[in-house]
Amino acid sequence: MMVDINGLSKRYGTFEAIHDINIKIEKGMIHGIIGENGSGKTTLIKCIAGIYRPECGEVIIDGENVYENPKVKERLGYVADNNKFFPTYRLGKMMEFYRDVYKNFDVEKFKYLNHIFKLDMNKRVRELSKGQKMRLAFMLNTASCPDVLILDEPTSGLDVMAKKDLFDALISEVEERDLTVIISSHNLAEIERICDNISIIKNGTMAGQSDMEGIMKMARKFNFVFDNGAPDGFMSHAKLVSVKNVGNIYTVVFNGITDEEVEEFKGMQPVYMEEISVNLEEVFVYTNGGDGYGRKNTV
Amino acid sequence: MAGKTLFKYYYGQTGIFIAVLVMITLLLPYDQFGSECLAVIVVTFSYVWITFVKMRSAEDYTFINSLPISKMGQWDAFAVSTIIFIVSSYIVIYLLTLILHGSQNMTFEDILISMVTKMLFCVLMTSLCMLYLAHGIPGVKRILLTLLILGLIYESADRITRLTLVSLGYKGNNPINLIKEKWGFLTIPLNVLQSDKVPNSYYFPDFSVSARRVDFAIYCAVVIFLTAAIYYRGKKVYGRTDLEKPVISVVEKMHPAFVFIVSCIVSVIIAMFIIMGTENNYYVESSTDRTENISYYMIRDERIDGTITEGYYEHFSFQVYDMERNNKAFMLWCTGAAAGILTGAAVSAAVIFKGKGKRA
Repeated sequence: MMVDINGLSKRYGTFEAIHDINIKIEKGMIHGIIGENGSGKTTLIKCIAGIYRPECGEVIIDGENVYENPKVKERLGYVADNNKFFPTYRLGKMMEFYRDVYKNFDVEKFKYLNHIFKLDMNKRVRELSKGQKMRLAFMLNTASCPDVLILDEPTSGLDVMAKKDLFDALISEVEERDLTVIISSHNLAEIERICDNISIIKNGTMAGQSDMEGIMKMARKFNFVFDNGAPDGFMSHAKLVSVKNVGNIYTVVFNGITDEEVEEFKGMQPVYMEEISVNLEEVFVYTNGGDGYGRKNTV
Repeated sequence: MAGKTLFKYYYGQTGIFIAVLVMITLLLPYDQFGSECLAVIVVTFSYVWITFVKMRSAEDYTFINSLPISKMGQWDAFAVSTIIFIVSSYIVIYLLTLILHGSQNMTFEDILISMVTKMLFCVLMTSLCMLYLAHGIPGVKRILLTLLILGLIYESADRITRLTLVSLGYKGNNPINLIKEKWGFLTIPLNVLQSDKVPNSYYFPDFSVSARRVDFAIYCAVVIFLTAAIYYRGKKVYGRTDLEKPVISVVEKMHPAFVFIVSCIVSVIIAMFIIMGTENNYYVESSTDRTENISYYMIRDERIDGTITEGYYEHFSFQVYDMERNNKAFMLWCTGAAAGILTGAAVSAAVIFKGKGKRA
């Protein structure tokens, strides 16, 4: 099932939460959405889940618009960052509710997942902690056997073991059923570990989108050693976002620099030059903080 | 199937409201199957309003809209649950009244017709309000238009139903008196017809009062309900409202408990003012014609507009009359207070949830 997001914009009154978002997600892929708080991730996720009606653009899943389309929604699972469900319902009744609403709901799978996540079926939803509600949401939505599973901050409130169990279960679903996953999280290490593709949202717009390899090249980190200090033009390079200088060693980060541009630095005759690997967290920081943050912290 | 499942959830929430209704019925003095209906109406509106507010809270909105149920399906589930709730409420309240007080001169047919008529009106009113909530746009003109339409529909339906019943041979009342009861204070010439001393049917000894009380109570509830609804929608959906902005900004800063208490007091005062302002005064005198050795009773009906009509009865139930006379004030205060407290609860619920609403 392919997810195709075309020119999506959503507005709250005069505030435009997201603007012209375009994403294509192939079947069986895990797509991560990352961004700062308030960047528009949850709004985007809710538009994808068909909860919000976008002002512009559309979310197409397998050729059909998702908004107000129960047929498509039946094949979607949505785990919110704050799951309320029906507070007065017991967990067993909540499962029955999902079983009645989603025709593909697999009771056996739910039981199996509960064997892992260990929730008391006689408890009421309102008696659960935030982490337990998250477990319940994941169990219910996974047991609904969706083709696309949308997770908004799924690790929020979960302990370390539960996080591991959740990601293990998720990966096994992807492997077994070719499940398409859209996940938003601040836990970038996990995102980096499981995602095939990443979209970075900044101020409601798409700041970057690529597969993991491409994303990692969005911010590139180097160590330069210059005998007589950094030459002219180095510190004022347009794509430079961070510089740390200890003696003759310059640790620098460039945003979106190409291999050709890296070659140009060799002309500045550094004594030593090497590229250092970065993780997703660093890419995220430099991609989002590049508009001044890095330069302000230049030593 | 999915919509049916959601309906089960909504209807499951009505249990507590039925319990409140039963408590009100047990606490309120008996009023000839009339004013009890006010309790149904107020409880219904409270249910609709509280459920609506909950539906619009951010978490509930997200959860319900993530389910494979269309918006129309969601509203249908809500509407059907409300309608069944209203029907259940009327059945409960009438059965309870019958058990507690007996039929009190009313035939089974009277009771059934009274129940069904009021039930239909309540369903109609609630459906319209829900339609408004689902698709309405805030604005003073819209409020006035809605109230006018609701009023016209209610009055027309009431007239048509009762006149149809009479034309079909129903003996409970007669068309002229029906018109006089409802429109007498507006159509003075019709009151002249009452000077023939033909008494109103005693099958509904205080039907006109009850009916009018219910009318105005409905109006009162509708006004408060729609004002709160429009305030809520205006603020949450559009970030503005046509209502007075300074008032809104003050209300927003208040503690929900304070808003609850103030809402209760204001609602009670408004309800009392409207209900009592429309009351009629009744007097009864008994006389005996010694020649014929017949006792008869004169009832003088002083209406709020100053018109006085008199009816002569050979038979008169003092029990009913005394109960009516003695309990009237208390009953009014009780019903008004119930209306006020429940409306207050609804308003405060709106205030509590107001910060959480977010609309697509």
